[in-house]
Amino acid sequence: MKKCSMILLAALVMFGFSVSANAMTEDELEAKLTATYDINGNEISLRDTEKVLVEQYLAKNEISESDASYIASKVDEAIAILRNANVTNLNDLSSADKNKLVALVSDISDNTAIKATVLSGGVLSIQNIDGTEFARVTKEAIRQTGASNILVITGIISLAGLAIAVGMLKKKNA
Amino acid sequence: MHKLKNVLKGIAKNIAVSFFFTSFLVFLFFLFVDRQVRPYFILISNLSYSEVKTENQSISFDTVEKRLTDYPNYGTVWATIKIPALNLELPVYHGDTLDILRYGVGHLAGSYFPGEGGGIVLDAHNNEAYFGTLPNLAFGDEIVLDTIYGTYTYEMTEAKIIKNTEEEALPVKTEEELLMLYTCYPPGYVGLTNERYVVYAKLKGADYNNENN
Amino acid sequence: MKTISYYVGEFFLAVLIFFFAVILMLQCTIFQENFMVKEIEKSNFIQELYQTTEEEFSYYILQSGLSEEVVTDLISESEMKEVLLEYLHNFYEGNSLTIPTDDIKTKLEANIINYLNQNNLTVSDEASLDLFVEEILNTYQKNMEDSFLFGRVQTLFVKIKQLLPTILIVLGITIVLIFLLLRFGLKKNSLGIPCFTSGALFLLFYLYVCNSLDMQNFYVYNEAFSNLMKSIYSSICSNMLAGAVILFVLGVFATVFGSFFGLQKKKKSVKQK
Repeated sequence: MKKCSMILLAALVMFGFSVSANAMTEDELEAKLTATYDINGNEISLRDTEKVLVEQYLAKNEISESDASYIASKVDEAIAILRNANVTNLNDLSSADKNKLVALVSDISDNTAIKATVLSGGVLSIQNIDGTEFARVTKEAIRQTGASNILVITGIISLAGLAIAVGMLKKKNA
Repeated sequence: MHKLKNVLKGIAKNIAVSFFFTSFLVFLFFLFVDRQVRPYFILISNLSYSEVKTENQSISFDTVEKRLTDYPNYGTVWATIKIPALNLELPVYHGDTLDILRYGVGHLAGSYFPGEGGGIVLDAHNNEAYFGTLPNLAFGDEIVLDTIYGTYTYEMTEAKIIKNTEEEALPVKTEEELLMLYTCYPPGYVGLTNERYVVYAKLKGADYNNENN
Repeated sequence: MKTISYYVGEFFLAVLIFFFAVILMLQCTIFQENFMVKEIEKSNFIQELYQTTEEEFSYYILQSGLSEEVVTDLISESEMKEVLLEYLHNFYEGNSLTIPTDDIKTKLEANIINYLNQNNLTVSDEASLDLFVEEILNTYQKNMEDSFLFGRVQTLFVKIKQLLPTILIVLGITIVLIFLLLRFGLKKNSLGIPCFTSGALFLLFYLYVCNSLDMQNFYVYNEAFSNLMKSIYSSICSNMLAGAVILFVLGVFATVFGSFFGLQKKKKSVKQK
């Protein structure tokens, strides 16, 4: 279930990082991203620090209203895929569903200027639209005196995380 | 001459047939394969980026929206923390990777900025030049954050020792603005520790230095 | 009917030659240990990894109460190379992948004891020292393992590697059979069109990959891994281009030879008549 939750979280954060909405849709989109979702009996939502990151990303990066609506619809699609799959573990997702998730992420990344990359130690670096670095995300909010290396599949929260996670799972099942 | 003509004719014919074969295979590729592989190509391309470094420009505080007009870029200095009681003055960076912590105080990405009304989490190493003397801070002592958009003064209200897994001890969604400073505990040990010393401070006053207020 | 069979045969021959060439190219590149060793050397992988690891060791010094000399030269660049090449060999052979840390641990512990003795320091909590050693070893181990990300797909990789020769043999036999069938069954020159077609496909495949993948700024994990990936990508692209040229040249050669040979045969048959 943890993996399933991570993927949904990843999808949500990634979607959040992918857009900025104007005043009309911002509240709606923010509400969508920060809501708690019931996936086959398991309630999951973003961590507070992730919600703040989404808020700050939306405030910093400007994208059109249509992009915001597009992303919102993709959030629904992602949740629907997980719900319809009726699984509590991502490993149990069918190849077709995994492909759908990959395609969904690609759709978003193809249609927006989001850039993200995985750095050593399981850190995810997210860029602003202008190419500057927006934030680095790790699994732990409290800084370790020693950097812990986290498996990409569980540690990455965002576009690259979802991409790699789904990609790796796909390879595993191939 | 005749031989050469025949050879050229043969080559032309083969190339023409190859052209049709190739076109047909390319058509099949785009019909069935492209859709499957393109998402992966896009994702790999999206993992590529060119680093752009810019200075923080004209960031001010919007008191109506209660948020910054722009946010500092990751890894840049956006404030100076001053703790008179400890005779401490250090630069505050946005982000708190171990690389950043070598140079000063880190600001947890995903925590709020001063003035936004939420939890602000700052951390630094526990040697004396950084936050090693935090346990000496007393209730009521002032902590000043001199940011690029204004000066914020906080007053220490609480301190506690937590485990490094206790994320709930560093809340960012708070009812009122809360500054949290933490460092490894105990200071002066040899090695690494799993405990953190956290200082909590409440906002006492703000002095904006821009015209957006 | 004969003409249709000929063109159908040529079409399949073209497809098979293309796949044969692609698989051969993979077999000679990423599935070849020597190729990877060369790429590792070409991309300064070891030097980058060495620098990154040394730098990451230093991150732990500030909060440890120890001096940087404790983590300096825990491992030399040549020792790191040796360990990595062994790891690479195990990866290709399908053996279990481990990064040995015993030597580093011994050296680190000795350095710490020396430092404590020299500075008359006592350790109040052994556990915190153990945690420091554990983090340093963990950083080293993970840096080595994560920088060669292929390790994560070892099972799949080795399976494919073992399967490739069989696929090549099957493809090779099928190509020869179709060729013989066309050459002696239908009495046609049959290598020109497939070579041209597969050459063109190789060229188009190269253009497709180059246009679809932005590897110029590829940056994942660290400089070492990113440079290695870029170097592998560039070598594969060069191989694809070389493959396209070779197939085109083969196509021209086969057509010229075929036309000439066909001409001689026609002359002979006219003379006999």
